[in-house]
Amino acid sequence: MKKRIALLLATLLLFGLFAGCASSGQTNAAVTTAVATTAATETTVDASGETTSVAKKTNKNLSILWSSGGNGEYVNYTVDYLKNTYGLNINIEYNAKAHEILQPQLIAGNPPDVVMVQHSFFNYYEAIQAGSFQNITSYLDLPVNGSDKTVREVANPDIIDSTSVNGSTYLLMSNMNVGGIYYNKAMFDEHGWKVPQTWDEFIELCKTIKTTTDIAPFAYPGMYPYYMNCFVFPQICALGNGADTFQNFNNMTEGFWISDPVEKAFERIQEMRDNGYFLEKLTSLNHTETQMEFINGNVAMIACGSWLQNEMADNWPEGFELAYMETPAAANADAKKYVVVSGNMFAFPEAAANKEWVGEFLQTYYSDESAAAVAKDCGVVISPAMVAENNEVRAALSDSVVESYESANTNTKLYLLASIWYPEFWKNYQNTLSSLVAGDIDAAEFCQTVEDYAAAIRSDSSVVKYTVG
Amino acid sequence: MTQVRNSQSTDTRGLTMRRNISRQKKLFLLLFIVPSLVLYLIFYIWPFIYAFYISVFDWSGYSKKMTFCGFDNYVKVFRDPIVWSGLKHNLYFLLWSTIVIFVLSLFFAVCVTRLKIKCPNFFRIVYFFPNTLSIIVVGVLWMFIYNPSFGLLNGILETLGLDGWVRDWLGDKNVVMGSLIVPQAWMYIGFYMVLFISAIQGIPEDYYEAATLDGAGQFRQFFSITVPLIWGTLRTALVFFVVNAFARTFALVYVVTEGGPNRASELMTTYLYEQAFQNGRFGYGAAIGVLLFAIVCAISMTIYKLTARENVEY
Repeated sequence: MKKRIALLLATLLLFGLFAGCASSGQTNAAVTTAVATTAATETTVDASGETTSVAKKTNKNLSILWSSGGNGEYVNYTVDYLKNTYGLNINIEYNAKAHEILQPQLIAGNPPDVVMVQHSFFNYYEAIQAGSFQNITSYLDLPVNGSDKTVREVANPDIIDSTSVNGSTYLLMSNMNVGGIYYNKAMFDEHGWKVPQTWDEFIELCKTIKTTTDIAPFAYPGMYPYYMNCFVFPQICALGNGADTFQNFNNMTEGFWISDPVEKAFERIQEMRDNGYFLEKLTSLNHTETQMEFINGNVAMIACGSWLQNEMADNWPEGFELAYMETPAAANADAKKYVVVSGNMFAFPEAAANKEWVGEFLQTYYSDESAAAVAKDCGVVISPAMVAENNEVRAALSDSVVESYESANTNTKLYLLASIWYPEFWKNYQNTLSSLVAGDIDAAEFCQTVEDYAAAIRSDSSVVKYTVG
Repeated sequence: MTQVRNSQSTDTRGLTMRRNISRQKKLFLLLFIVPSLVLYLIFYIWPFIYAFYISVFDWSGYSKKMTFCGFDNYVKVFRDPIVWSGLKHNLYFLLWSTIVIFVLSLFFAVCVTRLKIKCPNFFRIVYFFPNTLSIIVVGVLWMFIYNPSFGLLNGILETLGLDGWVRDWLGDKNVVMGSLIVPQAWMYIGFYMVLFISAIQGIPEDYYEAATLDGAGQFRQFFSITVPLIWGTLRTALVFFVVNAFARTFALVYVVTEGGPNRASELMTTYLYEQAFQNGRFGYGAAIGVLLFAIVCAISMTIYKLTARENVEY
């Protein structure tokens, strides 16, 4: 009897084990197997730009993995449109840890059809080199829905070529953010402070704030020094030869970090540090903590981006008038200005099961209706030009956000591509900047250290190099 | 003769029966052990071996495309100063968390068991409670305590008039490591305390009574009875400390400082994660992991060898 019970228990245990394996296999199969459904009768445009019948597209499935970390649900309009128009079965997952989900799926060969992950957590360019993403160049000339404009013309055209690899496009910007300085207009009015237009005016304002109030003149999220880029790189451009100087950064040109404009720009940071213009003990503050210091009136100006209004949506006190100012970097107010822009990128995995809907996805995502929905739901803009061209987009945004996008439209935009191409270098740069602000090193040491990091990347044959301009 | 035969036959039957029972037992045990063993091999040992394999490839971790690079990753690891500063920080964790946690947990365990304090269970629960919290919760909690603007710690120091002691606890490279030891200790003291309590409770009371009659005080009893008789548990705890210092500090550091400021709290594990999962250098990350494994093994074995003593039986 005991023997039988023991055997029964053991069999059940083994059965459970195999059942577990089987059910896991079935789940994978359900995810990866395309279900053929009745073909629709609409016509659409294929990758070559020719009109073809959607009826040819028997696969009606689409899976989307979209990072939700601090972003919002960007593709809801697109999903609804594709479902209603083409009868697609769409599986959409918004997840803050999308990068962690994607990586094993890429290796296993069963990735979603559309993916957007934050490039600070995922090395897109390594993945492109590994052949993980589709070349989508042929789709760029498709017209977006309800417009004569093509995807290329709407999807931040000035960045498409720069982000390409060997002339082919693998990534597109899902949205564009604008970096700059934000301040409380009500606080400025109350104290009679004027928005500085030049570097001298800025330093004078910092001095006034420091000496006449308990408010810290300036802050940035110390744990994430890249927030300072919107402040630092316009200084480098203003002190050097504008955008030409800046491209030396993207191209990792030898000597860039120890060149005169760069050294002067970081001497300015050192000057701010030495005069106590930064919020005290900010090195360990993350973005929300720093932004709360700003909201609580402990900081007069903060280096941040166009997402600020939306990110802190429930925290703005009564009477707070969030406003945007361009980084005052030049010696005179009429000089050319520079604005650092950034954004999230999305791509289409090469091993995706349902690759035939890339064109329709892009045509829909970059449409005016989609842009209006993204602006309304997420407080950001797919492309800065849309703020000027699309009234619905403009109406959906707050004043500070509109001001920042208008600044991007009227000034020279700076894309920090090297930060995406060389994440290791970028992390080292940020750490060194943190040391400079903390007072551990001076500007000259900072520049030499970062130049050494850049030299290490230049000499590392295992790192693929990219250039612009 | 018949009786002898019968007796022999009974012996043989008995032997056969015992063999059968033994065989059945073995089969029974095998049926239960084999599935767990297979799972262990697949999910623990195989990934472990696979990490060694990956470490000799240049692999981004984004596709199946891997390029054999021999020991290049290892050469880079040995030349990478961040790996060594990460190791230094891990060793700092090992040394200080061992001293702080070991001393305090043993002290509390002795207080609860030998000093006959009131409500021992209450203290046991209170000290063990942080161990039941998620490391993420612990990290966020201590981030609030250390916050330079509204943090509890600086607030208390200012209230006490100790303004000179106020620091940016997580942003100052000189104090950040010490600041991380505190939540680590806070979290693990309860665990080791419970471990030591159960070991101490296993010591017969007669020994202490005899020692008391002989005039031995608490200190003498602690060093002459308690420590020798729980030596095996102490050794095991020391190996746990090594594992904790290298493997279980990742989440705390990742949540609280992300290795900053300027890598002042970077560990081998946080750097491994950065290389493999953020920079797309999985092969290199695996090489760091293999080095980490070798170091943990070496330290654990050294501790076991140095602390080896004859078992004291009671």
